[in-house]
Amino acid sequence: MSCQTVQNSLSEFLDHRVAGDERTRVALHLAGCRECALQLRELSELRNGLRSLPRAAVPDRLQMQLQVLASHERARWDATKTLPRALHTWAVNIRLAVDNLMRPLALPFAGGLASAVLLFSLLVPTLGFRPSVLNDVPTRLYTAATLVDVAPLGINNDETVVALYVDAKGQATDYSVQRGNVSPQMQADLSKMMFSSRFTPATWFGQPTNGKVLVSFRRINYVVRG
Amino acid sequence: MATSILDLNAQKTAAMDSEDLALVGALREGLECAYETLLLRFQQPVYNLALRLLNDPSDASDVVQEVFLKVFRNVGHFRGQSSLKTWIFRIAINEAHNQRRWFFRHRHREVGIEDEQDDSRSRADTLADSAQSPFEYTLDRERQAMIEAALTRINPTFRAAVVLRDITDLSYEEIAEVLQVSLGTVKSRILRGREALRMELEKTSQTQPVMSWLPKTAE
Repeated sequence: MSCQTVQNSLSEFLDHRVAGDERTRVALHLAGCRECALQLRELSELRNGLRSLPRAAVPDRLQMQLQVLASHERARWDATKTLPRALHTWAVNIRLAVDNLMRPLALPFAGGLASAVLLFSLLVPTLGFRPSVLNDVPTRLYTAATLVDVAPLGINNDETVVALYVDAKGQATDYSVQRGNVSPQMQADLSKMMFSSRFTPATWFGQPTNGKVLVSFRRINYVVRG
Repeated sequence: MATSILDLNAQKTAAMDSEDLALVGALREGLECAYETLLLRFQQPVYNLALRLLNDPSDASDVVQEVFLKVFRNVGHFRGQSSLKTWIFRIAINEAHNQRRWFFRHRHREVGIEDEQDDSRSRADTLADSAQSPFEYTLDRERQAMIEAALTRINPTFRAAVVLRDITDLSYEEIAEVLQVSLGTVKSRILRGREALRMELEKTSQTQPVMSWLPKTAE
């Protein structure tokens, strides 16, 4: 056996991959060849050196990461095992996504609502209507003139509507007949009524001004029997 | 003699297979203990393998995570044609190869500013073994450092074969399964890897001897 052949098989010889007669032949060659024996010894020392290399301990951080990874993968597998579970997982994921989306808005929204309620409750007392005072001047844009007291009249017409023009002082200054006929007698009665009746003048932004009052006269017949 | 060794290996492989099948079945069932068992059995060998192939604890950690992610996600497709160990190691070898390629594409020009600390070694590892004298311990550490350095300098293809054989202690057949090459190629790679390693160590010992120990008279 040549040295080259032996040296090519030394690696396998060392690993007990050479068996039977071939192993015997190699062993016999090694017993007689110092160079090949030296090479075998060097290879053997090298292999022992490789085997004696310290086993690298798995870093704690990596161990933790692997545990987390295993946990995630198991949860992932568990979530998709059956259709109902998969649906449930999807629903949970969607809910979580919506939660995550809305959560940043929750505090500003709640704060805005609370401050709106607070401000409203502070403003409520100022919004209450004050009790009306009799002599108070109405602040509406325009108030019509009104009839306060009518003098007794003996008007015998069936139905007559008369517009009375009232000045800022509350006195009727003129009239015009809107419906019905007015006799000369009634004209005289109306003139008396105008001077003896009392009116509230019309107002414009709280200031007395000229206005008009419609007065309807109607005759009422009382039939007494017996 | 050789036949008996092979027979023993076959029995061992069969026993491992049944254990592997039970573990794979439990993983497919989603049992929590199966995940834990898998990690306990394989995290250290896979990390050790990745570290020896890449010589960088941070890259090795990344590779280990990728390996287990793939194992967890693809265990349903594991057909049991090889043992679980060789299947996981094959994934580890491929991931380490990808990581090395990525490194050469992206990171080989980067310069780290952190201290180059090997956090894979605990404080206990740095303590001297009580069975050894300090000199022996130091000598061993020097030798180990030289072997580790030489290992990083040889061809990655041969390195993978040598690491799988001499550090991970796989059989030639298992290495052939892991590397997905023929048995002849495995033999050749181991032979050439060991030879390359021996040459590197010789070169190193010529330039810087492991340790000189010259007795001198006290002055």
